[in-house]
Amino acid sequence: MTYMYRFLLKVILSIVLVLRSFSLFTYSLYTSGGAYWVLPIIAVVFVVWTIIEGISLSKSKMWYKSVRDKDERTEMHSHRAGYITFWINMFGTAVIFILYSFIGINKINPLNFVGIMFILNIISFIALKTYFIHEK
Amino acid sequence: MKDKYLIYNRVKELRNKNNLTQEQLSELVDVTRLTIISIEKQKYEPSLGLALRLAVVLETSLDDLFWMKEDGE
Repeated sequence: MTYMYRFLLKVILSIVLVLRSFSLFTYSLYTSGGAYWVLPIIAVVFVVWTIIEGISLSKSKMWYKSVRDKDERTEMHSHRAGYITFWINMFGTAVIFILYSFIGINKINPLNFVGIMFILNIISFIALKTYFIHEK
Repeated sequence: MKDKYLIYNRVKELRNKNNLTQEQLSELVDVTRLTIISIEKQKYEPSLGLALRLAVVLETSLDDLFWMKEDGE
């Protein structure tokens, strides 16, 4: 797989995410509550990420080269980041359960917390992995 | 806890001797350039497979490329 092919797949996924986000926003006008903001945030992050990659590929002229961003070292750091993210997830879930035991389940929609945990997991995994890989 | 033994290598020296850039070497042994940088800075200890590939590409033996010293030696 070349960088060009992977970039095109990301562009298609970005378009799908943005279109879904718009339809979800429209739908959310008729509903109350819910984690309708999760998908738009993911869509925005993904679009920005794709644009940054496009600029980076243009600068380095890597479009037609084979994708080579994984090896034993990056795999090792992915596992490290995954392990830490797992414990962040466990801790976050425990905090949510404790919080609900105090405030009750009706005050805040559980879907909002699920959305927060989902985004937190994605951000922590990507941030930790990037940090470990570029650690000098 | 610090490791008792430290692993050193001559990857940078032999890469320069073979007139290879980090990018070229990374392509030849099928890893990322960041991995080559980490190995050269003695920050990452490669697997046996990668160490053997490096030895083949740099036209040397494994024990000439990598060696181990006791900490504080």
